[in-house]
Formats: sequence, structure tokens, C-alpha cells
Amino acid sequence: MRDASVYEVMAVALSRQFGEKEHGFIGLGTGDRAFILAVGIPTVAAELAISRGADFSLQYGTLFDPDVGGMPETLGDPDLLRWRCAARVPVERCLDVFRRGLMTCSFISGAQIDRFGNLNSVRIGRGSRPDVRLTGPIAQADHAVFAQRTFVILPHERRVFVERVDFVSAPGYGTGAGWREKLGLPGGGPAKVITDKAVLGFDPASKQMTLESVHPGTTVAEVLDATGFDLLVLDEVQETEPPSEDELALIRERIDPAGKLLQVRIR
Amino acid sequence: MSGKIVSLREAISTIADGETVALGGHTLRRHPMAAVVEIVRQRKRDLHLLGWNSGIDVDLLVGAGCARIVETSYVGISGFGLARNYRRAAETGTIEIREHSEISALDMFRAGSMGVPFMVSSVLMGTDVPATNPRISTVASPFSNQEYTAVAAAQPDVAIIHAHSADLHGNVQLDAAHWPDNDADIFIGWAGQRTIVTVEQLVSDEQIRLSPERTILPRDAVTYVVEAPYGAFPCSCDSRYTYDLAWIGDYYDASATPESFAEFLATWIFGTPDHESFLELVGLERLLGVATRGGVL
Amino acid sequence: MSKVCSLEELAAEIQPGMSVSFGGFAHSLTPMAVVRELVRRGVDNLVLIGIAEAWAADMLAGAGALRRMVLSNFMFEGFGLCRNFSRVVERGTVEFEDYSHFALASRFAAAGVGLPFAAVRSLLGSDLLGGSNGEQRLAHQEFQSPFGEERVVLLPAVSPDVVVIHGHRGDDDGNVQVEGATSVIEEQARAGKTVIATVEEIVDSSRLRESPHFTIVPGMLVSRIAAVPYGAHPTGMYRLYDADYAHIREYVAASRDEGRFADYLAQVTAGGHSAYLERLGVRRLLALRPDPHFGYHLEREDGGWRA
Repeated sequence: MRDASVYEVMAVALSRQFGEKEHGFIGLGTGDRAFILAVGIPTVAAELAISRGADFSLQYGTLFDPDVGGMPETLGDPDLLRWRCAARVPVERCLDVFRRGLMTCSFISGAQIDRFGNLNSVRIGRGSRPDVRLTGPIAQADHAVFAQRTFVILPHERRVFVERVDFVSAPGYGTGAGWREKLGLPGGGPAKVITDKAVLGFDPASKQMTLESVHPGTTVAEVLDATGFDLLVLDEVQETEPPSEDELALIRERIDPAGKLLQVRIR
Repeated sequence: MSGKIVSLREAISTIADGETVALGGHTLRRHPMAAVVEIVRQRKRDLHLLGWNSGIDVDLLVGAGCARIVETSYVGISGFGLARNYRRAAETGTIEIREHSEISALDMFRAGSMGVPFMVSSVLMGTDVPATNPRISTVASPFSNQEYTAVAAAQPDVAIIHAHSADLHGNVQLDAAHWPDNDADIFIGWAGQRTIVTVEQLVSDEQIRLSPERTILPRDAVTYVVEAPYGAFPCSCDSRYTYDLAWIGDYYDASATPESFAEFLATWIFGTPDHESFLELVGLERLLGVATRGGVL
Repeated sequence: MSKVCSLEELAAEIQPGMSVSFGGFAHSLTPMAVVRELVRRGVDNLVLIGIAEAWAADMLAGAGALRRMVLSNFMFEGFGLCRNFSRVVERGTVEFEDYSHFALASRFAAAGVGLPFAAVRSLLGSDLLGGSNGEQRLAHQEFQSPFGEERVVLLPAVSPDVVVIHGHRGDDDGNVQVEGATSVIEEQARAGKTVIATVEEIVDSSRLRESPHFTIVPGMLVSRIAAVPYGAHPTGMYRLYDADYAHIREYVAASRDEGRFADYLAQVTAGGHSAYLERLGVRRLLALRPDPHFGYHLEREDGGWRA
């Protein structure tokens, strides 16, 4: 079997974070790489967990437990409305799932992240006018406040992993340990950051981002070089456990045979 | 008969410069685009736009110079990338942006539609968002010492949504098959001090009364109804038509510079006197390409 | 193998001299895009075995495409006579055979079940069988029932070379769905040596399976199928679009005069069907949308709707 792609490595690494009972929220983003990071990887990860026997309830926006194999060709309404699912709820109920704290895990991304896992999808630059205006906080802010655990999926680049984000649109651990508790944020905050180079966690005491494993073919030095702040590094950084033959076969033959999840292009 | 059924030109002419205007729709779905285009055509200015998850609707109004304040959770051209007119206006400071998350944006309309002054929860705590938006503040619980976020109700001067059908009395319906992200439109429609609804088709009383559970806005909640077939184009409209990605791609390319965007506006909006002429310019082939109703319009 | 083809390929099944029959009744369901394509290509010398498809008959008559007509009745409901049809009959330039509606339908039905003839009673005592005016003498035989005293008329089965129908939707296999009053499409289709179909849209077979009761012409009878939106215009399709009465008025006015009708034909056939639709335009086609409850278009007037 051909070597695992980096997206396959990321999806498998993410799937290993899941417990036996999860309610996961996946947005319905569009676009090629953004789609792979926000939808493709979490979906494959959840399906791998399900195939291991986990009771994983998947929520795509307002849809509950859709048939992942029947994911539509486009995200245009006529196609989406034909996507078979167990429930299609009004949007306010969908967002109430956040607020009720029922989401055990959710998946977010952004343009910048800092050592405490604070994310920015609003603007680059701190002046009265932004240097670059981005899309806005969307639901990422809501995931970050309310989900029991968030998983942050990002490209590993210096301009993304920055000393200080220019705008906190989705809170991580703020300024460090105790910050979320002091504000009374109901959710647990970021659990892991999964990039195309590594898996990172947060130090339990200081809540600082910590390098836990590097993907096969990547070195610790490369990860540190692609990170714009001082990263804590576990004493013994492991290699990210690569996908097994069985996992690769599952992804390629059952979960994503047409490459709709991990190989998309918009135009 | 009810005086509620008017032309698009008439309905939009009631909007004054500087008013707060809430727009329905979500990402690439069912934004009231015919109305948005008519706002541009009538060269409205200084509008305070509200949305909950915006896209080409807000970008177009900003690019045409109609907006002064934008208040929503997202403005992007989905898969194509950043909304370039919006980006340009933000970076040159010609618009003021008041941020929201999806929940807080929905909350302002929810509160407005319910008639409560604000909604309370932990939304947006720990973010820089409240500092950008006077609608978002904090409040202490009278039952504990816990501090919460308060999102003030929005009751915009004008709410504009696009729906599927209405009768001549102004009762507005959605098809049974509709994408629930657009259910925010129901709150937006109820929250408006004046509410303009464009619909795909005006239909008989018999049709409306066949399934009254699909009426989202009874006539008293509606100020004007406008028949605007393909009124969400180029966005998708539930099971009736999908989005026209090629058109949106052309729009995205044209929005690269103010000059190319001005040409785009001259062709598509100032070059067409009304919605029907706009549709003629889009052309039958293109409309049939997105339509799902039995191969016909 | 897929039976799907273009409108042009489909119409090429009809060669000069063939006998043809078209679906449609009054101002609905008529495969007009095929009729216009035949006129555009100048196919002539046709024998029309036409049961009620006034639109196909009158346009082909006006185009000089017919040699002979076998018919029950052609009229423009609400607008009067079919002028082109009347003109060729009055001038004697086209041969004709008159039947009652039921008698002709029975001839199709007999062919459809492989019988050599049909037995009917409805022509008895009329001039249609060869009466005093001597205009026609139909091939027939009067016959006494072997089970009683009743007399019947035996008429030969009839199998047109090509039967053309227009449906609401179909699939690759040629299954065709038609909604609304379908007239005698089923009898015509079963009688045809070849059946070709245009439909408003070709859909995945699974869509037809959601409502199989609308599949009134099964794919086993159909040799070619083409997707032709607004393929019945200016006649209508129940629940999809109404007959275009403004266009019908223009047609009827033009048909009063051969010269004007020639201009009309030149206009509506120029550039083929897609050019035809482009000329009609979006606004006009949108105005034909039916009320979803009634299935046909309602006109709005001050104070309400009018059928």
C-alpha cells in the first residue's frame, strides 16, 4: 500500500484522541484546504473511531448522524437537502447544543494561534485598521467557549503560530492556567493542536502549548522552526504513530474511496 | 388587495439612507440578492447592515459603497476566499465592523423577535469581540455573582429576507424542504420594524392554506411582499435551485480591484433597470443550469 | 445502452414519406420542439395519423410537410379552427381520412396489443363509413357479433412508423413520465413501430421510482429520448408551465394568411430550439409558471387571482 498522506496521518492522529462516547460537531465549510482541515480530517477521524466501536454522534451543522458515505457532491442546498440523516434541526437548536455543553468535541481552525491556544480568524494587525481583514469569528468563538474539548487543526507555519494573536476570536487558555475558570468559561478549552507536522498538547500546569509528537519524516527542529513562539517540548518527543495498514485500507476503501474528504478542489 | 404586494423598486425605495438593514441568508444560501442588487441600483448610502452569517450580499453592498457599519459573524465568499470588497473597505477604514459569533448574531435577532431587551449566556467571553461591538456587554446574574455576556436585541429599521412563496395577503411560506441554517431568517423577519420579503412566487390562498404550518411570517409580520423569481441568485435557494459557482467566481475575480468591480456593477446592476432584466442578462441557459424544478424555470 | 440523444438526432428518426403520430391534446403535451425541428429540416411528404394533436397537425400542414392526414379532430380550443389544416383540406392538397376519436383510438389500441383489427360501434350510421357525400370510404367491414344480434364495425389496426411523445421527465432507459390529462399517449406509444420521446428533463432512474405511477410509457417501448426543456411550448405541461396564450394568439393571427404564416415559421425555426427559447426570454417563460396548488397558471388582477 502506498505511504500515508499527511492528511491521513492527521486524521488517524485525531481519531486516537476520541473516547468511547462522543458528540462531535463539524462545520460545513467550503474550499479545498480549508474543507480538508475543517471537514475532511474530522470526518475521517470520527469514522475511524466509529469503526473501532466508539459511540460517536456526528453533527454537521444542523444535521445529526448523516450517512457519511452519502456525503453530497456539492454543498448547494438541493444536494444537501437530499443528504440522508437522522435529524435536521432548526439552527437555533443546533446552536443550543453548543450552549448546553453537549458537545464533547469540536474542530476549529484559524489564521493565528498563540502558545495558550487562543485563535484569531478576524484580522491581522492591531492598528485601528487591519492589515488584513479576515472572515470574522463565525462559530469558532462558540466552539471555543462551550465545547468540552476543542481540537485545533492548522497548517504549521510561523505566520500561524505567533507570539501573540492580533485578535482573540476563539479563546484558548487566555493568559494561562486558571484564566478560563476565572472567567467562567463553561467549555474545557483546546485539547490538542494537530498540524501537518506534529501533534501538540497543553502543559497541564502552565497551559502552554507543548510538542508531543512529530509526524513521520518531520524533525523536532523543523517544528520549532515553523513555530513563532517558544514551544514547550516533551522530554521524549515521539514519532506520531503512523496509520496502520488496516486504518489506511479503511480510509481508502470504505470511508473516503472517492477522495471527497481528503482530496477536494473547489475550482 | 392588501397593499402589501409591491414591485421591488417600490419596496426598496422605502429604505432611507442611514437606516439599519438586516439581511437574511447564510454563507452561499438564500441571501435576498434581488433586493440587495436593487439597493445598489438605488444607490442607498450609509446603511448599517446586520446579518448572522454573511457573504456575497454584504460584500456587494460594501463594494458598491452602500454600507457604513457591518455587524455579522462572517463575511466571506466561501470556497473562493476572503470577501475582497469587504476586506478592502475594512483595511482602508471606510466601514466600521462590529463583530459577532454565530450565536451572538443569532441572539440579537432572537431577542429582537421575542421582544426581550437582551440575551444572556457565556457567549464570547474571553474574546476581543465585545470590545468591537456596543451591542455586546456584560451583566451580573441576580441569582449568583457570575458574570455573563449580554447581547442586546436588534429590531432593525428594515429586515429583508427571501422566501419561497406568499399569498396576496402577505402570508409568507417556506417549502417543507428548506435548509435550517436559514431558519435565522424567521427571527430576522420577525425582528424587523419593517419587513420586506421577496418570494420566488406569489401563490393562491389554496396553496398557502394547504400547509399552514409552513407559514413563517403571517401577514401582520410583513410590510411588503415582492415577487422575485430567482431572487436569491447566485446563491442557492433550498431545493429550488443551487448556487451558480461560475457566476460567483466571476464576481470574485471582478472584486479584485475597485476598477474591475465598478465595471462589474455597471454591467450587471446599473446596466439592468430591474430584476427581470437582470435575469435576462443572466440568461435562460444559466438559470436552467441551476434550476431543479423539473428542468424548467 | 443509453437511449439519450440530442433533439436533432431524435428528430432525424423521422424521414420524408413516413407515417407519424404525435402526443398532445388541445393546448398541452405536444412535442412542439420536434415539430419545429421537422419544419426546420424541411421533412415533407409525411402521413400524419393524428388523433387530437392539433398543434402538430396545423403547423405541419402550414409548412407543406404533409401528404395525408388520418384524423379524428383538430381544433384550437378557445381560438377556433385550425386554419392551415382547413386550408390544405379545402384545397385538396392533402389527402385525409376522418374518424371518430374513439374509432381512431381503437385502431391504435388494436395495434398496441398485436390484433389485426379493432371492433367499434361508434361509426355506425354516420357518413364517415362512406356516406352520401361520397367524400371518403374508410377501409372497414361491418360485422355481426357471433355472440348476439349487435352489429359492429371492424377497422384495421394502425401502426405509425414513428410515434413522438413529450413527457415531464424520463431516464436513460427511455422510461417516460407524464402528469395530468394524458389523452391517448399510451395507445399511440404501444402502436408505434418506433417511439421517440422528448422530456423536460432526464433524471436518475431512482427519481422515477419514487413515483412509478407516473411512468405511463415504459422504456421498453422507447428507442430514443432527448431532454428538451420547454419542449411543448407554446402548448403547456401540467404543473410545469402553462400554455403560452399570448404566443397562441400570435400563431392564430399569423395562420390566417399564408405569407404571414411563412414568416412565423421562419422565425420560430431559426437556429433551433435553444435559439427559440432565448428569443422567448426568461421573463416570458417565468410568467408561465403554474400555481403549485392548481397546476396551471393564474392571472393576478386587482383583488385576486383569475384562472
